[in-house]
Amino acid sequence: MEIFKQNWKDLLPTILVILSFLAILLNLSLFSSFIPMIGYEQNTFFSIMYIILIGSYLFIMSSDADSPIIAAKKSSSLIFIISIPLFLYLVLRILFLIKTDSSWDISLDFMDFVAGFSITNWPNQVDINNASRWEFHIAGVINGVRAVVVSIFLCTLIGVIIGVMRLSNHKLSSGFATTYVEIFRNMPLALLLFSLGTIIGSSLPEKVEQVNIDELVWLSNQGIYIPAPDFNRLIMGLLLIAAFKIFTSYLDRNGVDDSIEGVRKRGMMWAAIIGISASVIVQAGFDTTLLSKPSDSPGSWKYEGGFKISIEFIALVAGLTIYTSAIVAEIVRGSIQSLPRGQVEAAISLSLNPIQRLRLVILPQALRSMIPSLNNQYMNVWKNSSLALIVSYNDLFYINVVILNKVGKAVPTFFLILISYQIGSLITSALMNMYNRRVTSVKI
Amino acid sequence: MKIRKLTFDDLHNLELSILDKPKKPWFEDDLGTNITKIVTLLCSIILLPIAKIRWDHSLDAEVSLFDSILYVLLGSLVYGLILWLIILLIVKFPNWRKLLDSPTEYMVEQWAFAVGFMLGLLLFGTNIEHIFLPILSGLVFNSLFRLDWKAKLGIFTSLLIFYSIEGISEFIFIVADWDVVFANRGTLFVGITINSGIVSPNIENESWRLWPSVVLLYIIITAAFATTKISPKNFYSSYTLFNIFCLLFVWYPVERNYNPNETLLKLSIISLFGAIFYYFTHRYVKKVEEYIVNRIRFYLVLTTVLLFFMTIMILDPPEFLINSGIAKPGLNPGQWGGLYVNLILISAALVMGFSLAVLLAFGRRSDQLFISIPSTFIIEFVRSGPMVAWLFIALFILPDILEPFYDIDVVMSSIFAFTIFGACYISEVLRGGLQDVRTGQKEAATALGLSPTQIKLYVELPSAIRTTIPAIVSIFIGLWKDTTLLYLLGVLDFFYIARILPNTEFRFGDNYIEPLLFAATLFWLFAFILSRISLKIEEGLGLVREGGGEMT
Repeated sequence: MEIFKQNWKDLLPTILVILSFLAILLNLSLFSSFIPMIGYEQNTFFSIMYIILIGSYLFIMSSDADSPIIAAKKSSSLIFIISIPLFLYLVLRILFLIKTDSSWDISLDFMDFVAGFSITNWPNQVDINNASRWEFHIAGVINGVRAVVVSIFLCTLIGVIIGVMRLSNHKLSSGFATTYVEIFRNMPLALLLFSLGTIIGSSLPEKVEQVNIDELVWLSNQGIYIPAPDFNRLIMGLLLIAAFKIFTSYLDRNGVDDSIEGVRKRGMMWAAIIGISASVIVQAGFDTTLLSKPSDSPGSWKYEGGFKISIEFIALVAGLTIYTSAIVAEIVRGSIQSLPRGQVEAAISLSLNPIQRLRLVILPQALRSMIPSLNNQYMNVWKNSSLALIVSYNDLFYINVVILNKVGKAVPTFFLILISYQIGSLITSALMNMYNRRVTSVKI
Repeated sequence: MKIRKLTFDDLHNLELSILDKPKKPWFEDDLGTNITKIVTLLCSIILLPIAKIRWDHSLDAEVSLFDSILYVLLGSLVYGLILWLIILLIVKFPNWRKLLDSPTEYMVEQWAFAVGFMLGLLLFGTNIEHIFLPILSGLVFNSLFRLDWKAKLGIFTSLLIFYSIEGISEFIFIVADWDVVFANRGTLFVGITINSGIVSPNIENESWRLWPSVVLLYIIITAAFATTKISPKNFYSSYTLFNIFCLLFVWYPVERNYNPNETLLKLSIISLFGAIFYYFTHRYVKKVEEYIVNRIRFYLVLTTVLLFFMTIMILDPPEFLINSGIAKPGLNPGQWGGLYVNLILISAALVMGFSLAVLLAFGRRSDQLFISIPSTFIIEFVRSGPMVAWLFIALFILPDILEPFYDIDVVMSSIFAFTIFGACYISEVLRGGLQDVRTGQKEAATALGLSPTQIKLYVELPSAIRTTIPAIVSIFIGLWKDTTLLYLLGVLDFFYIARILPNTEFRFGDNYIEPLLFAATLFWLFAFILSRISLKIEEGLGLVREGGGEMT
């Protein structure tokens, strides 16, 4: 009672809350006729109570002068109180939707059925008529990875060239590189992709006016057909080169022989092995494209054999490459600029020519600070490849959106998409971290 | 700005900067400059017929005088540059003196010449009339393969520049038909619904809903410029240019399908008002202490928030205002369109996303697990997926969740997606800034008796924002670029309208690149200006004088 007399102001809100709580409890069960407003408009009443509660809590907190720790605890409990209804609503609503709404049915059974739509098929990727949706999903992943790997390779190449050009004291080329970077860094990727898609598609000749170079390369707006090497032989040739690479790294285990003779010897060996593998590939012959007309019906001309590069693929790769190479160029410029000037001067005094200076002294050191940002950009390329939707290239996102339109199960489809992108990002970043460890293993 | 007379030395310097001197020149310096003079004269003589060809070409295409003059000037200039470079390359770089001394030895050394010569023979045939062509190709080949890197780079880049400028100038001045943009300029900026009200007298004109926002936007921007260190001269010149450009764009009579007088009057009054506002704010800012300037900046931020909510309120008054009779029903978000949808979205990311980002950043650093774990989860989960996926999720899943109390539509759900997406990226940047705040600052604030909330808001947050502004601006540039993705959801934003413009009339059927180019230029310009501003801020960060004179 003594406490109550001294601190009745502090206790007032608590008592009020308890009283109103009792009122609601009794009101709901027994005496709804006494206070009808609460019984009939529960939503409004509870909302008002909620706001009053938070307001009184804030009032108490602002008038108190507690020690920092207690104040922090109070504010976090306030956040807890505020978040409870929102959280409850979210959970209950989702549970309700899972029970009632078919698009919230989180089982992935529907992925086992026949997909029933067609995609641009990479050689024998999926059996379009019979394959399940899972196989289509995997085909989408492969398509996406294909485009991303090519654009990562190209954007690194172009980005390094542009970045180095931007730093050169040659006015014309540095101006050109600056213009390139400023134009494409500030250009929306969606707009770039859309324009590239339409421009490439409309500037290539139609199928009836196709360009044909010696029956080997066919060029039309249906795609570009080039002769394909035998797949097994291609693998064999590449394996040969890989084995030789391992062999040379075994030979060089005690350090690289960089005398003139050593360099010449290595060059000869590499030329020989590349020649051998090239002959292995060429010897089996190429699968060239033929234009055939299987039936008499009009418009049944079709290409057979060969390797098809689709227009969508070119548009997507070109867009991703141009956009990302501008950013990579900035990264390269930044990391080269952060090198100490003495390195370049030392290289000049060793009478290395500009190309050697770049290749042997500047780039290896700049690589160390470049890799984390490059990692970020490569992940961005992977995520941006979802814009393949714009050029209608059949990547992971496109295929899943088509599946979503056919089946209508939004939640599991998006779950699948997000998981796939996350796995891709994790793999990219794991690979880059491995490379990073290799590059930074030498301490300078 | 001092304008210097162009002299011959400039030309010589240009040559040196592109091609550099040959390593073993066969001429003395005086002779070299004379050669350059002669070559320049020769080039300008050759250029005349080339310019004539271009002039005829532009006359055939029946374009306006202005366009054809620009086309001829630009094209001939680049052509002349490349011609000049190649002739200089051929004349100066091969060692002619050695050829006279010992021809056989020299020829063996110049293998590239032989290769080029053979190639020339293959290409042009052995016809005696064209014998100089193989020689020319041999010379070019020789210069290309035996040059030092600087000259090679010069030739390579000037070729690239030549081809790109040639193509672009031909497209812009000769091929392109810009009528499609001018005929639909209203639609591009204010969307289909409002534009149809402006164009046709039968439909109610709703364009007044946008003017208050424009006025407030002018006030905010001019006042923001007044608080920076940009000199008034620079500001006035670029401001006048911008406004004249706007007025010209509205007034330009080709394909104009509306009455411009009212718009012109309003725009000029507003721009004049903005200039006056700038003048007074600038005078006030010069007089007062730094902390009052900071307070003005704070008010400006508040006004921006107000502007955002005001724009949405005026465009689409909420139900309780309509029910109480204050406002009439406005345009529902499905009827919005044009550039201002992009602007509304980016300001949603700016206003709501930023405040959410502050909450998330503090939440992630909180030592209460039930706060930090959900914040971390939300941030990492959202950052893992691409923006398109989140837009689609907002389109498909959000209406289900909010169904009981709010009937959400496409624009609102994409505003939501932009808010969350922007918030997660900004909060990661802010967290980095918060980690950089020194412990001493916090301890000092605690010793002054500030509560934890006060410490967070008045000590930690300002210093974190200060160091991370460039990164935040670059995120905004990314989000601004991402607003183009809205067309995938069917929102009639600027890019969507630019895409469908060729379908509006039959005669525009082929002109699909022009609106895209226009849209690209506008998006680019906005992003470019933002990035320049961020650069300015970055430069100024170390120099800004934090004043507290009278306050302490």
